[in-house]
Amino acid sequence: MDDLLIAKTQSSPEIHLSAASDRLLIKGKSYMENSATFYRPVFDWIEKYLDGLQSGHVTVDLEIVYANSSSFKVIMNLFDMLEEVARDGKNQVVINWCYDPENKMAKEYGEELQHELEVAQFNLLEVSS
Amino acid sequence: MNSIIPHYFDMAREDGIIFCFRGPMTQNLLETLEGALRLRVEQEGEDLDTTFTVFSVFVEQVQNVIHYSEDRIPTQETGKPGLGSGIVLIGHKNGRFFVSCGNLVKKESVPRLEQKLNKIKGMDKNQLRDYFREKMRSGPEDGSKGAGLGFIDMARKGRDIDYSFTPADELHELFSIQVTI
Repeated sequence: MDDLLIAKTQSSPEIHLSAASDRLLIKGKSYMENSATFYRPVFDWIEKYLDGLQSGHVTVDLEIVYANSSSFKVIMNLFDMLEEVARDGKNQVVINWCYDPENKMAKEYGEELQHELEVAQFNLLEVSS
Repeated sequence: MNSIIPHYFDMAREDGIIFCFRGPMTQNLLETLEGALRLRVEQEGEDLDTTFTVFSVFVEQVQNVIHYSEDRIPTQETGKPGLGSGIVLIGHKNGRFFVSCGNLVKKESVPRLEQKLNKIKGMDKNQLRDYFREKMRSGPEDGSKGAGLGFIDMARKGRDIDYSFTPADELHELFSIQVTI
């Protein structure tokens, strides 16, 4: 599969999805007007990638500075997909939630999402901006 | 011509208004305000967490107006709903920031909206958190263009949430919501 690359904008995050390195990156702000439209190609790519996952592991790096409520729901849906893969037991799923320690809201989002996961490995990581 | 500035200057000072915009709401408005708020943090030493919270409530309110206002400016593009118009305010009074907005809604939407908001207003932080999680999992409601989480999100982030409906014309009421942070 080709990588999916979407450059960041002021209200949408950088997306870099790579099947070759089994890494999915979403980094930046997410408050675009229509989150369903923006994330559809991201979802489609990830769904296809997870269906064909052979390597046994996938790492998801998320550094989301701010997300509006509808983006947050989309991210949750993405987590559901990853959790399903983790549940299968055939593949290891690692999710890294990176946040600036000055950004209390980002940390809280991470904790909120962490609560929803049971199987996938979730790491809350402080990063310096 | 007498300037209207003195009138608005006094009114704004009394009500603690920092920012007011009336008209068609766009994504651009949100991005511009993000820049302005970031400057306040970087240059005026405004508290980052508070500013983030103000911004996030602002986004939820403006995006509600974008999606749901019944007062729309038609666009050239056919089939598109046009730009949603309304009014939004950011202010600081009695030591607290507040974000308020108003837009026209159809009279028949009022009971459903009121019921939703009443429910949210009656909840404490834990109940709101649980309700948010429940709504996050369920599909979108009928007539909902976003995730249906905006009001819950605002209520969680704010200290107080108040709202009102005032008659506007035969078919519409003015819906307004205020969140104190």
